[in-house]
Amino acid sequence: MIYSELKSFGYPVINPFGDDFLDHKFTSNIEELDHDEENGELTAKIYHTVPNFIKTLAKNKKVKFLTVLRCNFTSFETHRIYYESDQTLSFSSKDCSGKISIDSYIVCNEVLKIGKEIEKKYINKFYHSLDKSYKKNTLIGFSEPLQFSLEPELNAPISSIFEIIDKKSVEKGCLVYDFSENLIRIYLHKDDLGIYKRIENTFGNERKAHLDILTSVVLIPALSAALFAYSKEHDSNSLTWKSTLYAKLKELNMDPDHIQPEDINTLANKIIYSDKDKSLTQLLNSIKFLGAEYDE
Amino acid sequence: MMNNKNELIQFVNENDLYKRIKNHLKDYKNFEREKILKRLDGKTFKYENSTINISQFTNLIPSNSIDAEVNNSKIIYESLMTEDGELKRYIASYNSLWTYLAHTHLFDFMVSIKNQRKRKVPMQDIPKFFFSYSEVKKKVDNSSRALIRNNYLSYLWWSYRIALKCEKLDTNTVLEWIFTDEDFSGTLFERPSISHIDSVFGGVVRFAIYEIPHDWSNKGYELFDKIEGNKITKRDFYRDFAKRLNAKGGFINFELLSEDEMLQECKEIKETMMLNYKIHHTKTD
Repeated sequence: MIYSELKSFGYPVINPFGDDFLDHKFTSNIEELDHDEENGELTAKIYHTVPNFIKTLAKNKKVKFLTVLRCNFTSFETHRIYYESDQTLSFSSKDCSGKISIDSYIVCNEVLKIGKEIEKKYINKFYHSLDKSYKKNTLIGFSEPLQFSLEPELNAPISSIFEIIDKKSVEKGCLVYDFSENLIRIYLHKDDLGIYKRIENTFGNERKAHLDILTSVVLIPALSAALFAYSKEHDSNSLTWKSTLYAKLKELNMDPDHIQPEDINTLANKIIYSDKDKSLTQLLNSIKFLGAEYDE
Repeated sequence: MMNNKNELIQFVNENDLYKRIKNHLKDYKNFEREKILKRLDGKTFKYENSTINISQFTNLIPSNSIDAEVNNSKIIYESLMTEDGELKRYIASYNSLWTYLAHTHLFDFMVSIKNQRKRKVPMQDIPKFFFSYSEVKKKVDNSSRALIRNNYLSYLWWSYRIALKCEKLDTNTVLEWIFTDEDFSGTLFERPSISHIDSVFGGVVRFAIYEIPHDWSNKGYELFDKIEGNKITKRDFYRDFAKRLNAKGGFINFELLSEDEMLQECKEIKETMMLNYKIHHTKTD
């Protein structure tokens, strides 16, 4: 099922936006997502906010929670079914690459009728006269899809090779880099990251302006540092950020084997702005889902 | 003893590969593999735990007849392995893997196929056949749909993999069906929302094989014998069916259904379609 806030079902469906179930909403959140790359396992602690009557229906196995993991790049889909609103789910990550989406639904486990199992007091008056039964496996609720990035594709936008994380030990206004992982880690002070996370609540030109600032203040300096590190050591392109950087340099007809220190800043600008539109969209996704405090 | 297992390698950057060769396409006709590779000059990426076993490649049949494709898809699928089994989906989703294989281990096979056009599907032109390159978009088509219809090796591998996952049908039966019925392939098999969910595809392909007639003529078929003279072409039938299946998928999570339940959903859609055709026919009388 393709998610859309505007989707009309013709019968009451609980979701984060509408008033089919009056003030009751269905939202989902993943507080922890662990990716064990070595064993190819992805563990998600998922929490659903649902009204008590839905919890009771689930407890009595009249409805079930369905969580679907989708990866567009590999066209992979897998799902889990459960009856508790808080659940730890494990998936194989070996069939995924790049962006994944984790979508949750509430689905009928048997025939349910409005006015019987679904009491009218919970639903909008608009539907009170509806003579409708929910068939088994019919959708009765959906929440907003949650998106995450695993390892980026080889030819992904350049911003997908960054992880932006807040770290207590980093001073305000400073950036600290780590190039030893598949993705380039950029550590910021919590307050600084908070400023960039406000982008989530901006739109149109305001969002564009915020992203431009982030690109200039965080990404270009980080990419310059990465290019410098790459110019010193790139015998193997086994790390994802290195292979992506290699591809970007080739795309721009630059010689990855001969990067001159005086060219690094110009190169960083060229790479970032070569796929800027894609970068900004990708970047927004990255920021939205990163930012967990990280102090070892 | 000769070791036939090779490390699996792919090109790193795929978008400019075709541009480098497009003025020298005669090299393909002349089996000039080394010349082509030199012109491509692509940087490569090596997978640590995945291999290609070339020992079976002598059994590939250089033809794109149905029987040959059934045979070849099995060989291509089984020759690519990761240490714990089949090739991982994320690796098989890179067009540049297939482009690399098409220009190295399987170059002669690819050129032989290209030189012997027996069927129109899949597309036989070099940009798509070797590179999955779209002349319209001027770049490699990375869509899921392109993976099962552009690069010929990718088409064979993914077809076998998808067919293998059908629980209640023999893999060869499914392969023969998807290689034979171009309308089914174009309308249903190439849709990732259908072919990449095992139970959904299993139900849909069983419906196609067992529940609808096979003897469609070019003028269409009197599918509904109670409605004389109301012919429908197979292509239109599949399109209408796909549209309705898609709409139904907005209300029911097909992921939850077994193959049998999916087959039942398909039958219900067909019943609705027949009713609809009947009403439409009655109105136009």
